[in-house]
Amino acid sequence: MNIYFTGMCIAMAFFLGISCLISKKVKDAEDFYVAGRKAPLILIAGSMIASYTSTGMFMGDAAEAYEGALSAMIVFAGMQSAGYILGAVFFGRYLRRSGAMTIPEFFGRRFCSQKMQVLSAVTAIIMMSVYLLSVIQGVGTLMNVVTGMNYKVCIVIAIAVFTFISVVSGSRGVLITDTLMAGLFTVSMLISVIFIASKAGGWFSALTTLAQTPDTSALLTWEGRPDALYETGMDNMIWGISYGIVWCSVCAIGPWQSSRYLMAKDEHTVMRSAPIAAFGVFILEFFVCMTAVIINVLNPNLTESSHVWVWAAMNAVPTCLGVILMTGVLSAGISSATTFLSLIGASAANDLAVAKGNRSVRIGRFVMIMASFVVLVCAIANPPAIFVIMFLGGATAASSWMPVAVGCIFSRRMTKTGAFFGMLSGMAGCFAANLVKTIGGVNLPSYLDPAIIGIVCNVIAIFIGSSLTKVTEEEKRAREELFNIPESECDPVEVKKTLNWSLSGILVGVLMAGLMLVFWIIPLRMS
Amino acid sequence: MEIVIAVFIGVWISLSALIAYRQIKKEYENTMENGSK
Repeated sequence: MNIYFTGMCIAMAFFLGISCLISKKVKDAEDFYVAGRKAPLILIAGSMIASYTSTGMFMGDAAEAYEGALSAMIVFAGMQSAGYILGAVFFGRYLRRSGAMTIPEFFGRRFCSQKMQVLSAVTAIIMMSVYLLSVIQGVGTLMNVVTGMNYKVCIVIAIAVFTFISVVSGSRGVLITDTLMAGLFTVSMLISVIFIASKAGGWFSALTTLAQTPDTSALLTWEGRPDALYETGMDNMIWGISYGIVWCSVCAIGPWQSSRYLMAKDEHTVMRSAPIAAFGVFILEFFVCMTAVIINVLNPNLTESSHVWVWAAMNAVPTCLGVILMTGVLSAGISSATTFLSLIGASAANDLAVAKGNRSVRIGRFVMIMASFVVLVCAIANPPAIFVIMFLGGATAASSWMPVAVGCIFSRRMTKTGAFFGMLSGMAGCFAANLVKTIGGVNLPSYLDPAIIGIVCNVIAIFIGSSLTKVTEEEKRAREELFNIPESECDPVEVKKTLNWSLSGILVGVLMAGLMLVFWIIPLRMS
Repeated sequence: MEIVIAVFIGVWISLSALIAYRQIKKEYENTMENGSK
């Protein structure tokens, strides 16, 4: 047992202990699935950051930046952050206002359609299972590399931990452990950045070295290294923009993100959490990717680029910090996994089994255990492909849900038939394009990603379905009800504060641009 | 070109925040007006 494994065990035992304590406060289904709808700002923002941040970022995104696709990753990360701001205002607060237990229930109520609820539950379970598989493969790989233990044993340990947290303490436990984990990996990562940069000769000096060395001079430029993602810099940039749009949708309406809004104590909390999540996620992505590039100064010949941060934790920072950092990355993976698993249980119990009260909690717990078992088998049977599977999960979310989520609130003409076939066609289009790409071996152009194809199919099906049918009176009433702001949300003092929070999003944009200038572009231009 | 990326991301986020702000303001104003009538 090495020191990294000891650190990970201590952290896992700590989170298990916390979830046991929280489980005593879980009294009913509302506590279990939506944390009693009492979660404050810190827990909502913290959980959104934690749910996004996983081994996919520390291993997948970092690997792409290390290989030479930095600018594409930054474009994608910057664009997706807007999803939090737009999602909270144009989807999240209506979701919170509906009083639904899950997002599929929200769709079902909005279109007065049980079929719609079932279809959205099935798509939610598919996308979260896929994403869960990516995360667990990342966690298994991380533990295997750091501790030297067998990959399968690592996966079993990780699955046991996050299944226990989700099953015992429900969403209330997930929110609290998520926020603690987000704090742990954010602090440990930012401190590690200082040490790694210092070992590479200092942040600005390392950037100069990279820019002046022929082998690495392309890493920091907008074009990046040829073949890092696509053959040319322009193709990399188009990929960054198209994925920025796709992930902007995912951050706005993806179930593992927007479901946090159902747990918020009020609508003001929903809207105030948005600029924090947007800035938090961008800061993490920016420094994870930039530091991965800087690690090229210390070791430009890593055979497995997804281990770039693992290598740095074990070789470029003090051992004690490296242990905390690896524990933080593990926590990032586990925090995302607990969110996915609890949402799978919620959708299965509430939307498919249509159970209520304690029966719903029992079914949810059973489904979570079964889902963990299925993911365990898949993770052991398939080789790790963290980056690919993570993007597949996001692509499914954007292509099947995004047009329906926006239309169900802002379109007067969208019918239940249009929404149903839109969601179905979006998922089928994305899946078919992925099949053609992976099994058929067809190289799609950078702008024609499966997610984009899925979104287009979704929109076309919505238009056709809605033009052939009429909006019923009950659908009309269900939509109108979404625009009735409850009296409790209209306190002028709170409204003014929320408007100020919303305006702070403009400042977030300015800060993000400033961050890129100071820590990337100006040093690059001056070298 | 790198500067274009920074400016683009800054404008993208700020514009999103401005759109969101206007939507919230408009909806609250409508509610207040309807409430006072």
